[in-house]
Amino acid sequence: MDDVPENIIIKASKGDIDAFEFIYKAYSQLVLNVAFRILDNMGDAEEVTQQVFLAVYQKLNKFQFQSSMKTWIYRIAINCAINYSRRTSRERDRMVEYNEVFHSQNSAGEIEKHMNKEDQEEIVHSFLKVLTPDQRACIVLRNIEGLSYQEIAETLKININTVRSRLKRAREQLLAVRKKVVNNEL
Amino acid sequence: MNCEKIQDLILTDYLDGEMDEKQKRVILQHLANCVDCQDFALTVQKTVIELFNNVEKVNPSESLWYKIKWLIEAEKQRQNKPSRGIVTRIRDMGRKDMGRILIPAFVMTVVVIVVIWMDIVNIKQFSFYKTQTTSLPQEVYVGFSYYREDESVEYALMKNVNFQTAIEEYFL
Repeated sequence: MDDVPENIIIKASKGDIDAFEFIYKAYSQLVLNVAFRILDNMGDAEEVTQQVFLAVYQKLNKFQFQSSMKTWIYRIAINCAINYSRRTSRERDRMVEYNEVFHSQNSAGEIEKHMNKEDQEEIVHSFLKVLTPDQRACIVLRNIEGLSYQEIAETLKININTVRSRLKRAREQLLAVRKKVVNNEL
Repeated sequence: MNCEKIQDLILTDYLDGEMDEKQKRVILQHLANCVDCQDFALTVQKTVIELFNNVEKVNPSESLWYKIKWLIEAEKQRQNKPSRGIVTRIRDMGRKDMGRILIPAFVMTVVVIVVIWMDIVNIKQFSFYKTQTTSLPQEVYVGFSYYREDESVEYALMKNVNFQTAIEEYFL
């Protein structure tokens, strides 16, 4: 994982706002994207991004350089987004949402065709909504952010086998939903 | 390895590239001879792996950094200012303005307590007096003076005056 230079982190931890801006520029897109995929709402994602960087600024002097800054920020972002998701009651009935998206889909072929079109984005959102926040975090870190199992385990502070089992369950769930769509059960 | 075990590995380590070469060879050998597992691998690849490939990355708005920066500055200012909480203010007073504020406040408190105490004592004395007067014999004479029309003073003595109020009783 690429990281910002150590001297920048030290400067920022002493209150240097320009050094902190450097950290913000390095990781803000990453934080926003993780939050956006977990929360599925740009306004909420920006609010969480704001919370994350305020938390990072306040905790910078406690950063021990034992893990990479990126892993540390990922962890804060995931925790903030999951907590935010649990706090707000914006998670509507997931299956209903999924049904809305695939309302006009009749066959597997059409779904695949649909995936290649510009509203692939909408399908990604719908798929992620089927998952629990913990599963969603694993899928986002693995499939969208491209982190390895080890990196996910470090980020979420969980066992690597837990990462494996969360990914497995999440993907089984996605396959089950796909199967229902193909069989016109949704 | 049976199909179930192979499919579990396809779903995770195999498609995520988390396998070493030896494990990968075992999976590939199985796939070469198992149509079901081939179909499974293709479906997983298309449905849950490729779906997330090339998803559009979103960018933070221009204003987000300024908002965060403003909140940081506001927090810094808040930390530099003395806290306005009541408990903290009292604590700060204790530290900084002990002589200037707490001593006059203490003196004022003592004065107020003394005044209240004296008032209570007066009321008690008055109550005692009232008890005394109520125990007087039935015939009570009260002398009083009043101005006549020609401005001369007339003295009079009233018998069996019935005091209606405490104030009346006190003054007469």
